Amino acid sequence: MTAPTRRQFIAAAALAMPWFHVQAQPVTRLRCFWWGNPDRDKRTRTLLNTYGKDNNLKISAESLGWGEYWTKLGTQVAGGNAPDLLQMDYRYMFEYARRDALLALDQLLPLPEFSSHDRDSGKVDGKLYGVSLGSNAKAMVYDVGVLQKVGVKSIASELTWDEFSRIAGEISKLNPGKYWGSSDSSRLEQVFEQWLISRGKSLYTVDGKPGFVADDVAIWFDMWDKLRQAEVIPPAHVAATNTGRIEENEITRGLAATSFINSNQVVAFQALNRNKLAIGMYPRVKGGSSGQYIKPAMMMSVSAKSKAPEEAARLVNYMVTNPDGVRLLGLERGVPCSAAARALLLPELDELGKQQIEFVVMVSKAAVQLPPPPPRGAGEIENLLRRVADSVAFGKVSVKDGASQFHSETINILRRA
Amino acid sequence: MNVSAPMGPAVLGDAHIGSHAKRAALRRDLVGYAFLAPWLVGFFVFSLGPVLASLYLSFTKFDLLTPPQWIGLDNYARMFGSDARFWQALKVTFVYMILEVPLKLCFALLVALALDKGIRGGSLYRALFYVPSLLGGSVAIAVLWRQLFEGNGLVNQVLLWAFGIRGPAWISNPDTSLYTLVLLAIWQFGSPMIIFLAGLRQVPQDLYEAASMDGAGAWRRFRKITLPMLAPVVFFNLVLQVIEGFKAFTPAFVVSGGTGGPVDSTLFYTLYLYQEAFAYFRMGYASALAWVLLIVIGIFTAISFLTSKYWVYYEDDPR
Repeated sequence: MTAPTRRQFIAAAALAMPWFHVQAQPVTRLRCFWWGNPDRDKRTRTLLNTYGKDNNLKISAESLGWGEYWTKLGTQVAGGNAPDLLQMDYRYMFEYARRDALLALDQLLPLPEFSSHDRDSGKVDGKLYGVSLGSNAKAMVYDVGVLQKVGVKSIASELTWDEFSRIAGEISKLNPGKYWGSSDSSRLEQVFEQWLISRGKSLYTVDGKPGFVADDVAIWFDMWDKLRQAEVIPPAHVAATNTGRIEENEITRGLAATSFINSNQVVAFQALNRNKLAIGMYPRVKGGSSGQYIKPAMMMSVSAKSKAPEEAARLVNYMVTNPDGVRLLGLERGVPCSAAARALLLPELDELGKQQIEFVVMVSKAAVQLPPPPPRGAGEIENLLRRVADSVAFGKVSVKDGASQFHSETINILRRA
Repeated sequence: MNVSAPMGPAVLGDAHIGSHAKRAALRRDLVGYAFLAPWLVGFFVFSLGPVLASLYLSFTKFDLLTPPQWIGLDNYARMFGSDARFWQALKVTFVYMILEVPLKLCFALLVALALDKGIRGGSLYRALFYVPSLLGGSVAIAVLWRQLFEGNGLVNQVLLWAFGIRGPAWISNPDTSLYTLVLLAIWQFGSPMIIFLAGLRQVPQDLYEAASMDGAGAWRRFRKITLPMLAPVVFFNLVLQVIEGFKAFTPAFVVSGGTGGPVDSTLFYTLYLYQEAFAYFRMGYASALAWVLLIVIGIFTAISFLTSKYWVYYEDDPR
């Protein structure tokens, strides 16, 4: 083979040049990324398609499950390749905003439709970084039919853990060994948190330390251990592979009548469940507070690196204030903050939707103050609780040892983060 | 850039060659490198670069969003000093390897011996047995495995129907979950089997004939002829499987939903590394974990090579 001469090479290169010189169309491109579920993905994609078509925008959409979402978002932000619009959680907003990954939206989005409380919940150090797509509260979801079988018409707003255990125990007697009154929630951070607040403690203090002691954890593990011994809740292996996905939840798998979720998730739960579901407040400790609070279920943020921040902000505004946008998203991401949006949705809502709005109103009347944002390392501690609670449930460690293990490892993780 | 290496010493040292010839040679070299460029770029940018970067990162605290911060040997000190999950991950990985590698190799050899006998439709069986190796690393199979070994999965239904035994929830019980993954690995015996089969075909048939005439039975022929002649292939498979065993990730990730659970019973080393890096964004610590893994694999491979002279026989070896 003869090597091409330099002249031949240049000629060939010149011929190839036009291929690399394709004129870019002056169409604005936006990327939107969120964590979702099938129902949410469908709603969001429809919204993005509609908006894109009307405004001559190219919007690429991507969604992942909660866990994978943060992995991918973190790597994209670090790689300077963050999506223009990204769904944000109260838990991570402070971290991202303080590292200049998010755009301050005060100028672009005055949001007169929002109450100052709703606007403030998206602020970090006085600037707006997240626009709430809806509010939610923790909610106990239950199978209406099954509860009626044991004579419970609806869940009272001041149900105590003792009463809850009694009801769950009766349900577990309906089909022993196959169906239980409640899922094993000793491993769920959000239930543990509510229980702590109800007892006048907290999961984390304002300065990012644990707001509980090992004895609190021991009481918590012991409460669930007794329920497990009494076969009110399923044996350890039923919950062990549950990583928090709706399809893995004991209600969806037809194994339990009650479970502990967030109020907006009831939409996605009902989409996967044939039985009629309803929501009520979490049980409380006798004489304690509700332990519940209202928070933004999820927010939309704009990347600090976005090349079209105005376009991105306009799209966020469309989601929370435009009648079409509000209708398309519905209540799946929580109850909208704008009163006009709520008024728009109300006449079109089904029973479950109305219940969600009523529920958020009910909780707001009994709500405690919104806790400070969880410190760094909180995500790891959430997994730590699953792991330690499981080893207690499987009998690998005693309640007492498990409690002190959880407490000391929590301190270690917080110190290291 | 000085690019004269591939030309050899004759050109390099010769000062009498005219500048014209030298330029021609240089141009020829350049063309050679141009053709190598895709590989070279790939190697330096996507392999060597990141490898060296991870060595540097292993001495830092790095969370992706803020610049890395030099902390010396802290990551390594923590790993060996106070990280219980690190030791748990090592334990899980070693238990997995000690069970999986020998069992898989034995099984692969057994099937290879059976197929070597020239049964009818041998090539069909060969292909069929190889299929799991092609599919085994995939997510779909891991999901299937999860379904099979769940509390009310197929395995337990068969156990109940055939023997009246109520099996445990294999996947979600910390005492049994790892063994289901061992089973999954053994099931993928296809690629060592094919290599064994090729090795068996290389054994000279006249050795067997001579042995038979001397009255050696099947077991003796296997012990005295097949195994020694196959030793290099066994060795090759062993090294390959050990390295693969250390790198196992997908099945544990999918079956446990990325947690390594229940109760860290399937926390493979690679899975722990992944969690530290991509769930908790401790890139520095994860890099240190990766380097320790590299060293451990290196040690095991070295041990295999060093001991091999005592049990691996090469036909053309002058010893």
